[in-house]
Amino acid sequence: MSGISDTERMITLKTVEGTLFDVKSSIAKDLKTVQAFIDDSDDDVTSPIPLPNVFTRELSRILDYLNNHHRFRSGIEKADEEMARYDAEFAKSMSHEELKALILAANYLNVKDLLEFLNQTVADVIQNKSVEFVRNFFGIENDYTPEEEEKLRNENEWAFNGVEQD
Amino acid sequence: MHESDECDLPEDLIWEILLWLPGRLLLLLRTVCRAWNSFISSHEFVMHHHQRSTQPRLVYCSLESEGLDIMQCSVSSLLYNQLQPTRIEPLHIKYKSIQGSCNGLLCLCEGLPYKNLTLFNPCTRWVSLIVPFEYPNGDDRHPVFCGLGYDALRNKYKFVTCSKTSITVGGLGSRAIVCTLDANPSWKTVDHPMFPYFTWCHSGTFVNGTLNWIAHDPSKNREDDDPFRLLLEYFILTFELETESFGRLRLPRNSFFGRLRLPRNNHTLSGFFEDVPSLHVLKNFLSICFHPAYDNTAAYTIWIMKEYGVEESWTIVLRIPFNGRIITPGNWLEPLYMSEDYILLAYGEFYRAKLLVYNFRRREVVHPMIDISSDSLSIYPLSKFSYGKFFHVYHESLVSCFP
Repeated sequence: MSGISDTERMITLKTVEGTLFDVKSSIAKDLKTVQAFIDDSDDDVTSPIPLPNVFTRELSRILDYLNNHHRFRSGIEKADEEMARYDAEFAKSMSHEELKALILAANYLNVKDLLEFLNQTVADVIQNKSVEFVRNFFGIENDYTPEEEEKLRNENEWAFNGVEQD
Repeated sequence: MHESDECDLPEDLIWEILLWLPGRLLLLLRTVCRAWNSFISSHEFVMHHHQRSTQPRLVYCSLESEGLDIMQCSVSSLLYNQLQPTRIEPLHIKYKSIQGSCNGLLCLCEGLPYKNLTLFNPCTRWVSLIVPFEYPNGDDRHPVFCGLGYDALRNKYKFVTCSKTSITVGGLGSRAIVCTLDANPSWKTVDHPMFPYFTWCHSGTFVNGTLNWIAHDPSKNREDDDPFRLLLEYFILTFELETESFGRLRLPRNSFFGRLRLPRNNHTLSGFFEDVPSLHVLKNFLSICFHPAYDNTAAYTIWIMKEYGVEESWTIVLRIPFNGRIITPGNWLEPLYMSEDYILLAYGEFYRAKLLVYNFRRREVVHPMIDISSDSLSIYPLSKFSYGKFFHVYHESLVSCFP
């Protein structure tokens, strides 16, 4: 066994654009897809691990999130408030497109906690919005005829009150 | 249609996001497109969403100027909102009382003895057809117990009730009837090998595919030192929805619990029951609350059955000590809901108000602020010894079961 402890070991990740990121193995554990790749390799992984579906912007954000959360968790008491503030800033700093791109990356890399946080963030975004807003957000085409849509709306008349109109 | 920077999330990721949304919004989103309508209405999504729901609500029957109505308010607001009074919303369901709740559905009954029942989803406002009661042999005396449960195997909701038919020297004779609530509701009689017994919890507690009631076996009554007091042994009467069979479970301590104070004519059935324990669901566990008189401790003790059906798994989860002000030896208290962080909402006949919130970490007991302009909490029925559970807590769901 080498004298270097597990937490000091660095893993190198390579994004679509070819940017290299050095990541501590303790952080890499949260990227379950990467961890699975490491576990499956017989030898120590020395060359950069390619991530064909992940862009630099997304990986940078994910690592920022993980590094900060590790810091909050290993620290002392007050971390909960700091963490909440960080999370709020993190969510606000992204446009809707960036948010969706990050979800795709977090899903590919299998970063559970972050993915759950991002899902909740999107849920918050669409909370009091109209159906048309939601269609635009997710890029969905309406395949209902106007009559069918009218009928469905009437079935749940009361639920449409107090929501942004289209 | 899309710029190169735009990305669309695949369906399976979208479904995960939908699970976080409240029921009312999901109803709207059924009109996004056919695939969303199909998915949001699917049994799998509905059940998954219900399990994830973080919107518990408190409902109760209130006696308004025009008669009964059902009121609801947010449990989270009662627990955490110390700054603003909690708003109470009338549901405009008149003349019916709540006799059970399960998977976000409320079972409403009309008349006493029950004439008919209706299922209602307060979140989606879905209302079922009215189902008339069919008592065997015209046996329509006042119900002894009832409950709404869910048969997961057949995906059907069932209502079970039992009424006294005759009171014999040895105890009661009676029959239980079960109604399967689907497009063709049907009533049938179910065997009762457990008799005789008395029950208190009029409306059953549904957990783990079973309905549960507190009962006591009159053949096991024992005399106390006081000739006008009997000691009663309580047990939990269970009804499994899938097999439609009755059973029993032991309480945490296998000994005599309650006391029955007999009036001078020594007639058991008109006695005064002291300190009946109450059954509830807390954090998805079957839970029982003991009043301090039982074990002579100066605290209410709340137990949960960590593994349903395993009597050894009864564990104390919370003790609520007397604090000399709100919680005193003269009260009785019934837990209603316990949050993830163990903050408790309870109901009781306290000096100043009926609801209280207990935060064990801060050793704090407070009465949550209610917006009394919307309801003065004139809960019906008003007395502890009347029929039924007063409060029900339900978790939002999109469940509906038959047209």
